[in-house]
Amino acid sequence: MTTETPVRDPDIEQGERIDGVWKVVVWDDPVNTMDYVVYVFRKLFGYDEVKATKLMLQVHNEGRSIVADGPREKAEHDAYRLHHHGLWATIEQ
Amino acid sequence: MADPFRLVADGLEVSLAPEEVVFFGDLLRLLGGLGGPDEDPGAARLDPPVYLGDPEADAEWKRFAGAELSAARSADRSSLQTVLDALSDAHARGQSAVVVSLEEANAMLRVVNDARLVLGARWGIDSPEDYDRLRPESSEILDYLGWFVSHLAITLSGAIDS
Repeated sequence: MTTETPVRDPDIEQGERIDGVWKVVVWDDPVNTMDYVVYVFRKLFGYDEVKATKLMLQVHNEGRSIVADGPREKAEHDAYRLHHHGLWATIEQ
Repeated sequence: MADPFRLVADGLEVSLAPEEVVFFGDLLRLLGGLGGPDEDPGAARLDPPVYLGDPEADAEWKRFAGAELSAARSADRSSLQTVLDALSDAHARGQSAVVVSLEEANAMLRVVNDARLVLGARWGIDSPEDYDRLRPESSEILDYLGWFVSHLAITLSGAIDS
């Protein structure tokens, strides 16, 4: 285990100060299949099957789940990719 | 139902019957002929808001991303058309399967899922209970497409795992 103090990218830090962290929310819908949603989470975000399934179940049972976060530009890009795959994603602070 | 997908070294082997090729061609025409989001619930389903409660930010996002998303979907449909043409050629040679790249397989997955979303929206599926009100033939179509999408997604998950 390393004890080195992480160094933050100054550009990212500046971006977060200006913009804050944006959350990417996926909403439940009655048409997308569970298997498809798990696959999309794994493919787009690199999550393992357990994490992707947990997020899918949260969407299904609670109506929404925060699946990613980051600067606004990244959140918009994630929402774009999710929409391209037919999932309803919104972003919020 | 026979397994139409198999991961192979250089992509995915897809095996479809001639009537499935015709049906997916119909889906391509369906997606290519969507109306505007104000009059077509199917079109509206594919382009939901990104910013809830902030129409100005959402309109700006759509100006920024809308054309790119539309172009990406058009490219997906062209990719599926190429696969369907290859399958038709294979059928003419007495074969039933072709090997497609994983990119083509993912484009096929997105297009078929989009078609299912559009049909579901047009047929008023807003909750799981709405399925019970579908006409039998509509229910069969959504069931078939759901099976196809889920099965393809599970098969492609094997490419992530390997």
